[in-house]
Amino acid sequence: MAEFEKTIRTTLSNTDKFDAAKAETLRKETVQMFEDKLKKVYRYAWLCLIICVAAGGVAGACFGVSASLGSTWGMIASAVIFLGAGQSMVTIKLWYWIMNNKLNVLREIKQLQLQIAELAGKEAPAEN
Amino acid sequence: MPKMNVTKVLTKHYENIANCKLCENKANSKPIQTQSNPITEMPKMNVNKVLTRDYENKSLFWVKAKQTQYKPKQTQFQGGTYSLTGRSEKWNVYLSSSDLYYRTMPKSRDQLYNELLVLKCRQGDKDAFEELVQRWQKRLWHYAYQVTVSESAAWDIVQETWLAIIKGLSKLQDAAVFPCWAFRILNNKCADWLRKRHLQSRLSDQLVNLAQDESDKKQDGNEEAESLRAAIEKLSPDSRALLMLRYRESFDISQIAQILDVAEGTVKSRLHRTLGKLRQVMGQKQDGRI
Repeated sequence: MAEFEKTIRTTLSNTDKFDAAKAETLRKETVQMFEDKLKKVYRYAWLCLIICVAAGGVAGACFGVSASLGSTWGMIASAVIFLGAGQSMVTIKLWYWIMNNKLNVLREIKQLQLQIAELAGKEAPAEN
Repeated sequence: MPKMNVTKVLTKHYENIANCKLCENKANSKPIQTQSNPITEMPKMNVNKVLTRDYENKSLFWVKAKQTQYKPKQTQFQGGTYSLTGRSEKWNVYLSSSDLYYRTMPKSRDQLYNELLVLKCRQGDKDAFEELVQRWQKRLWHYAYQVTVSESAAWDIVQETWLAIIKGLSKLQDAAVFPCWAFRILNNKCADWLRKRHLQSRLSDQLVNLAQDESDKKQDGNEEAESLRAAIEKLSPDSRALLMLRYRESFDISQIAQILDVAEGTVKSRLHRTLGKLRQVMGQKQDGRI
């Protein structure tokens, strides 16, 4: 690299206006935002599951009522809703499980690569 | 790395356990076949049967890579944990060859650790996110500051950028592209800010005669750096962004093109032009001194 480009790099790296106290405050706020987002996602997931369970329960009850009344269409509609609710629950859980497993494996591969990089760094011959 | 002790793994003891007990599948599989794969380049390790230890979850982990006939373009990763509490799990994941190339090409420890943090964040690890923020905040702020030349605006932009990162993190498919992705978001936020303030029109791309401007400043050993900094501040936001990405963040041309959303040729020509201007200014400065 040319000397001039090295000077640019050094000049851009040596800026001292970064306020550490402000950075700390912002870091806390950002982490809080992250936590809030997680909570929101969990709340949505639980809400979906509760809705599915409720829909399944109501559909089951409707199925019983329809059966006692002898309404075939009522029974079919209730059964479809019941199965749909169950299927939705299974799909949500399965999706979560698949994504989590994939991330677990990727994470472990990354850890493995990191170990290898660290070991490679240790085994590298020292330069004179 | 407070909670993740990765340097104390893969000892001979664990490798023995891996070979004897845990990975009983005789491999008709072959290791990952990519030219620049650091795993295969390591001499004393068997990629087919690697056991490591996850200190966080107190469990043993193994992973096996093989290429199958029915999915020739993908590599199958089988893995599993053997928890100390007796609970065991097995995983099965397919990665495409291009995916694998990017995931296995030689990277620095810093890059790998960064990717690990991103993956942990995607799993909802708060500590990992905190560390990620700590690692990247200063770099993001410096970029925003150089582009906007306003400290308070830089803080606001960085905060907005983190908010966007939090929102989009779950959609980020490849953890390796996090730096480019984060800087692209930041660059867009900076551009929005500049557009709002109409700074684009006010900050001219033309340099003023810095030789005269700088003559009042103190004459010490850092004179050259000071005048260079002043010259950089006189550049347009686009040029400053380009210099920051190239010389402070050390992105390559293709990455800068992705971040700024322009062609690689454009990046090269802009960079050439910017450096030419700076050289010219510095040359004028030296001539003025003589």
